[in-house]
Amino acid sequence: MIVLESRNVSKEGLIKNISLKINKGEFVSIMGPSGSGKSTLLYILSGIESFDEGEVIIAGKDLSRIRKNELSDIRRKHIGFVFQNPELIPEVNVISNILLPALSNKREIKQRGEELLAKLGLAGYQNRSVNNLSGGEKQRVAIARALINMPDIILADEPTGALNQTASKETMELFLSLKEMGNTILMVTHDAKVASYSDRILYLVDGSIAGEFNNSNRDENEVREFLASFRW
Amino acid sequence: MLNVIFSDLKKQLLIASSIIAFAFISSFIICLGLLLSNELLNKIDDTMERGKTPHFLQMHAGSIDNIDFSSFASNPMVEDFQIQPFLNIDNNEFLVDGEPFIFSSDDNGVTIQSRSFDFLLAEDGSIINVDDGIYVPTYYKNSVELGSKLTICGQDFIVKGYLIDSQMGSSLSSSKRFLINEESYQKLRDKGSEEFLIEARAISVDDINAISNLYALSELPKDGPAVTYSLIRLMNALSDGLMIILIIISGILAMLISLVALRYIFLISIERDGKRIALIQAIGIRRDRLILLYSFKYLILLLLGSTLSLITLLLMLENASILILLGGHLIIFIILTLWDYLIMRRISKIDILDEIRNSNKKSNGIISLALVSILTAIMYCLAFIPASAASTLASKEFVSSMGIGNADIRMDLKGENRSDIEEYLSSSSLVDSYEIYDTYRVKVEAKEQTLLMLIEKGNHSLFQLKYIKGCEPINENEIALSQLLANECSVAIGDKLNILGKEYIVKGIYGDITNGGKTAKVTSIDKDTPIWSIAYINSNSPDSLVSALLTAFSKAKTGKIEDYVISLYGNTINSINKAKYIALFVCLFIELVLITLISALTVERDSRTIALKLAIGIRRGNILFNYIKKFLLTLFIGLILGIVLSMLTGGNILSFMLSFLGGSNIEFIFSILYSLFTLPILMLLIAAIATALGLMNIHKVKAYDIRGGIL
Repeated sequence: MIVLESRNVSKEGLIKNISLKINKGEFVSIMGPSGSGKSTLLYILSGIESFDEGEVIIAGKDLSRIRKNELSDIRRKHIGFVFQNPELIPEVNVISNILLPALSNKREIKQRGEELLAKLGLAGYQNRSVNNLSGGEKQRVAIARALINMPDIILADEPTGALNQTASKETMELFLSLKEMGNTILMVTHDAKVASYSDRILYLVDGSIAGEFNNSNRDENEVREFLASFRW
Repeated sequence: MLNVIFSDLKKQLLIASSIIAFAFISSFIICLGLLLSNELLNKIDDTMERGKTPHFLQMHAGSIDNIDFSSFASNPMVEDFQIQPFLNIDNNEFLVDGEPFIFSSDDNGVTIQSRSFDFLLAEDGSIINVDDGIYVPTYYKNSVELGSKLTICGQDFIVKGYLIDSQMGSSLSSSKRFLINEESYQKLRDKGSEEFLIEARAISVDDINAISNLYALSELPKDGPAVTYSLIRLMNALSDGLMIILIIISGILAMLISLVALRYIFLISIERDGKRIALIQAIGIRRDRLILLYSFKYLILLLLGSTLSLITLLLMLENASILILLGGHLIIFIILTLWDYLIMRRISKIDILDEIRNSNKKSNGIISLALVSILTAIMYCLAFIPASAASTLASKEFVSSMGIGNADIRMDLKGENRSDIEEYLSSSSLVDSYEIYDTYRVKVEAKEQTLLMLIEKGNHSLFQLKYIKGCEPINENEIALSQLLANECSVAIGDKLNILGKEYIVKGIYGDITNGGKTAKVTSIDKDTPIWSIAYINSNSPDSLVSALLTAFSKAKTGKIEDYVISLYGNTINSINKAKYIALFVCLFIELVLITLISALTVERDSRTIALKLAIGIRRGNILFNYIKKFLLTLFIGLILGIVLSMLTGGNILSFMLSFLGGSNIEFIFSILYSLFTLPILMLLIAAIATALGLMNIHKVKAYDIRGGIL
């Protein structure tokens, strides 16, 4: 089942005629050199950034044809976003941050939040201040927030960009376990090691998909070889 | 370095313009109050100087034929002496272009220009020389136009101009003088009741009280009140004085609000500039230098605001005192500058590393909202105090704090037969209760001096006053004194006073500004002829009874107590009403500016969070709604606080202000409709508009901004 699809999407000067499909349960990375348009593509696919031509289909809706409120609703219900900086709200505690996009105030949702915390290795952290968390812990809270509404797909923009090596590894192993639980993940990264956790890699050059790699072995060396083919 | 610090001012227009606005508001209102006070006092002193107001004045409603004043007039303390006639004419005898003249003063009459002093002045300050026609007191400027025909007792006069009366011009003076020439005066002489103003000027102002006592103790005629220069000056000051006091109080509150608001703005600016400040320090600029530079940055804006206020006042007020204008602005500017510097010292608390590393800082959301509540409470007080001053002055309860009985109707018996009136009142079905009080002028020996007092005899349990201490006299050997008299006699509750050979025990002390303020009340006194008699009446139909009494007893002065109060305080009440509306306008204006600012700054400060919420799919409308909810709830809390604060402290502030009128122990009256409905609703409405205006910036924040580098 296709969870997210783009058809001939273009944005002047940044993205050129990109068509892709993300299937349910896939873990896909978008890579490319600086300025290749990978983050822009991610934000277009989430509806945060507009585009000039083409279609982006998610939850059966073409993002170019719907109103802003509906776009917000789609993001909230169907997409979980993980940013490079965790973007937590410092004035409220961990559980409040997680419940920020929650679709209701019911107790079940709160319970789900606590369960997510436990799954992500942060059991008992509900009432802590986010200011006292490490970088890795903050990112895990951000992931929990992205998962609270059980989205169709998780979009992650350089999720390890602000983390140290240990935290990066923990985060990627978490992503892998999420994928194994049946979640669909689309991630932007410039790091071959990070990308090696994904099933498939799309390589962007100058706003177009220049190549695609099936990473079923999850071998970092294979990923590097693939990437090397694009060096100039 | 300076251009690094100043470079962002262009982008921070909201902050810059708010700082200028608050500096302007605080400077403008306070300096306006000071300038108006100065102008008023100067005007009064100047008028009294030009008019050569008498230092001592004794009114006498009776004949002065064959009275020898030479002994008094030749006293070494007396510089000059004269007797001025005042022809008291029934108000019904005045017509303006054929229509009845509406008076707001009790006694109106005509006089001629004085020879030696107590001159009636033209509006340009010159002494009026009347050839023909009539000059009308400026008090009635709105009722009579120049050139109109004023008919008095059938005699026509053309209104030639307006006159300034340094003695009776105040709204607190119950008599008003119209000026005509001698020939016209003689023609009217038998149409009214002639009174005389027996006047003296002292060689030294220190001798005024001595002259007053000298006359009081003499056998010279005294059928009327006596006043001195200082009381005349006080009465002149009070009419406009209260409005000015209210403006100054508004100014102080506006200053307080400005200081709080400026603190908030400065702190936000420091927070915003945190990274830049950290970087500047990181590259080696000393902290204290940075504090001075930042202080200077905002000082320029404060200076701009103060300068704008200075220019506005210069343009608004002609002949404004430059000393007060510059001095007042300088003092306020210094206060604002010191405040600026004190708050900029917060820069020393910025941690360099923390700022450079950390982009997600805790914002003081709760502090902003608490600030809105506190400021709303203060602004409510700002609008409430003048409004309650107006309500209090207009209330019946206030009347009884001022030495006037709490009745429906007041009737000055004048030339009417007392027993006829008693018979009428006792048999009228419109009368619920009444009492006739007779007033006598009596000498009393007290603490090595002899004083003259006005003693009112009657049943004082019926139309009670508000007593500062004690209560009304009930027994024949009991007496209540006015505060002024009690002070002069140096007596307290329980002390004894010897009056006409009889010992009275002081039972109560009350406030009184009528008749020079030195009065007393007894139930019995051994004296025959009162100088006047006043009936206080409670009625089941006051308007009907007043009409009936006016018809039956045309010589008596009859009217509702409210009308009597208006005749005493009419202009003062008008002034306070003006101040009420000025204060309301200032309150709503400050509220509009302040809440627009705080809500706009809150959006700016929260922009990253807003972008995040938009990015994760929360609707913009929901985000906006939550902010509006928060702000309005905060405002509502502020209003409750303001109402409670006003109720608790308003009475004290008001008593302080109104004690200038001679009364104490004033009951605080406020309009429930205005205080609990009109004012809060207006403030909520303005707050809603301001919040909407301030939150408009939320539309500038896009989900896309989460990508970074937005601020």
